[in-house]
Amino acid sequence: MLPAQLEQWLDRAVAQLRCRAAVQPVKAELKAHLEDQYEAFLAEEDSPEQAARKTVESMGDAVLVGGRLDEVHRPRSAWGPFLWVAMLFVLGTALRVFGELRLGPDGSGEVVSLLVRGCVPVAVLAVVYFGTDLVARMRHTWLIYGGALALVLGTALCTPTINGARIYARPLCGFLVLGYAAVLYRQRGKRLAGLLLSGVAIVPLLLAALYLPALSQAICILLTGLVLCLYCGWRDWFGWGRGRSMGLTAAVAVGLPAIGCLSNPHLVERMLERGNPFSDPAGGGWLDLLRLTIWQGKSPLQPLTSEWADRVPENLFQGLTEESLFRLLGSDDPLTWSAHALGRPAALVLLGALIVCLVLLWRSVLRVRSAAGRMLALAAVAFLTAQLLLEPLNLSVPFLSGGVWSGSVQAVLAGVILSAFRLDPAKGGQEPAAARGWLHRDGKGWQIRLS
Amino acid sequence: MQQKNLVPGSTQMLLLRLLQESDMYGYQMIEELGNRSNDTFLLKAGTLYPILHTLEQEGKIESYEAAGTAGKPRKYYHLTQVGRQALDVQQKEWDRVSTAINRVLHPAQLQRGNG
Repeated sequence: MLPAQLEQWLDRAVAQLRCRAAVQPVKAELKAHLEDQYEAFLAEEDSPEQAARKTVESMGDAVLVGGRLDEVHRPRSAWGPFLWVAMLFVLGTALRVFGELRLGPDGSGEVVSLLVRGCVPVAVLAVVYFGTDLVARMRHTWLIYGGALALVLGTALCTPTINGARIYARPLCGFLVLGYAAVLYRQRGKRLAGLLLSGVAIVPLLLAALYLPALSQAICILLTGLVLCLYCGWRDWFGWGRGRSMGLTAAVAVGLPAIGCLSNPHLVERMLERGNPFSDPAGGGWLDLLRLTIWQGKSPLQPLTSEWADRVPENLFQGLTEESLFRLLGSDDPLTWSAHALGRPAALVLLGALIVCLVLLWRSVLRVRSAAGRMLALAAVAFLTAQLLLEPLNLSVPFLSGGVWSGSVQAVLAGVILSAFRLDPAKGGQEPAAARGWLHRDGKGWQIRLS
Repeated sequence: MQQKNLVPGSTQMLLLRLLQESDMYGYQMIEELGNRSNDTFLLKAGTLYPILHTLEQEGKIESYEAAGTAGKPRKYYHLTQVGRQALDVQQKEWDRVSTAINRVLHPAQLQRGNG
């Protein structure tokens, strides 16, 4: 019987293994090693407490040891989670094809194009999920971090600028949070220095987002970083104490924006302007207004009778047909378009389904046992959630919205999230049904599980 | 392990060399390595097992369960034919590199030896 301290070390180390078939043999081997080492220290006339402490020290950090073993025992990919996410992309494509077909036979050429474009994110998802495993590469921290930064800045420099914005680089901001997660993963047990480095590491990412410029993406990165740091503090990842880590993170999170806003009123003004659809009727604001109008139940194809009518430019909806509406909203805003074409109840059902998906995803991510996998998946899910929360009027839907470029980027993020759920369904014998991410039955009835 | 940057990749070779003499389990290897190197090579368990498992996946070693010294079941590792060949290659490479390093560090000694 091992002392509790050693049992805890053992549990934490094997928790990092995603390949379930490897858990029992590795656990037995490490347990035998712990027993031998503990008995050796006892034989040197150490007290049981001293022997347990020295044994833990001799083994190394449980999370990092488990992480290295996870790299060796890389699990194979399960088909279930992949099919779930691929289905979301297919659903997004189906919505767009449905909209195209409503426009009549002239749109048939677009249908083929949409089907082809819908296949690209699924192909990207398959390549990322089956062909790579970022979770097993988390030790290459600065390569992941620098690579993500270089990718965003390289794309910004190499792609055309439209209306002063480097729009092709904007969707890539999702990769920056993966780099940030990799940095946090390596700060385990580094106490205040680790926490401070985590704070500093987010600055280049924010500057990169602002360079694009993409203020909303920068805020998403900031919120994601805050969630990750608070989570790490709560789990005492830095080894500096839960209260102190969370307190310092919260103080910096509140203090720095406050200082920024007080010292630069233009920043507040800019953010308020961004949220006001009337502020920029000649630019992006009119699209927000269009969305708002539809969600208020007033079709833009009919004269406005609302209290806003006098505030809307006269020619705003001039010449707007259902076809042009679909062209405007069909690809980027399937929810808003659905509200117009199918009615608000249908759109609300879609929105509800999306929220349920996100809640289930959060639940699954927080249950991932591998620290590396949990960190990466948490970063990706927090970023997607922040995007959704930050732009309530846009109602951009992860996996359903956007063109082929942003869809492909979302597919990469989805592939990374799924890699955290990688389990080995076949190696070493029969796995429990829950491990395969399919429907399975237990004492309480049928359930769907990702992990 | 101390001075690990000086001899990158040499841990594999040392472990294979130990297993060439007899089958061993993980804890035994750490002890043996420490004793033979006068505590220069103090390998941590967290370093040892990922290397052993990698070697096993590469087919250089294989494992089996047997009773340990105190009668408890232990996972022993055994050097395979592939492992012997890999050890041979690594040892030759090590000899070549260490000779070259010595030629740089101690040129006078080598000249005396040649003379």
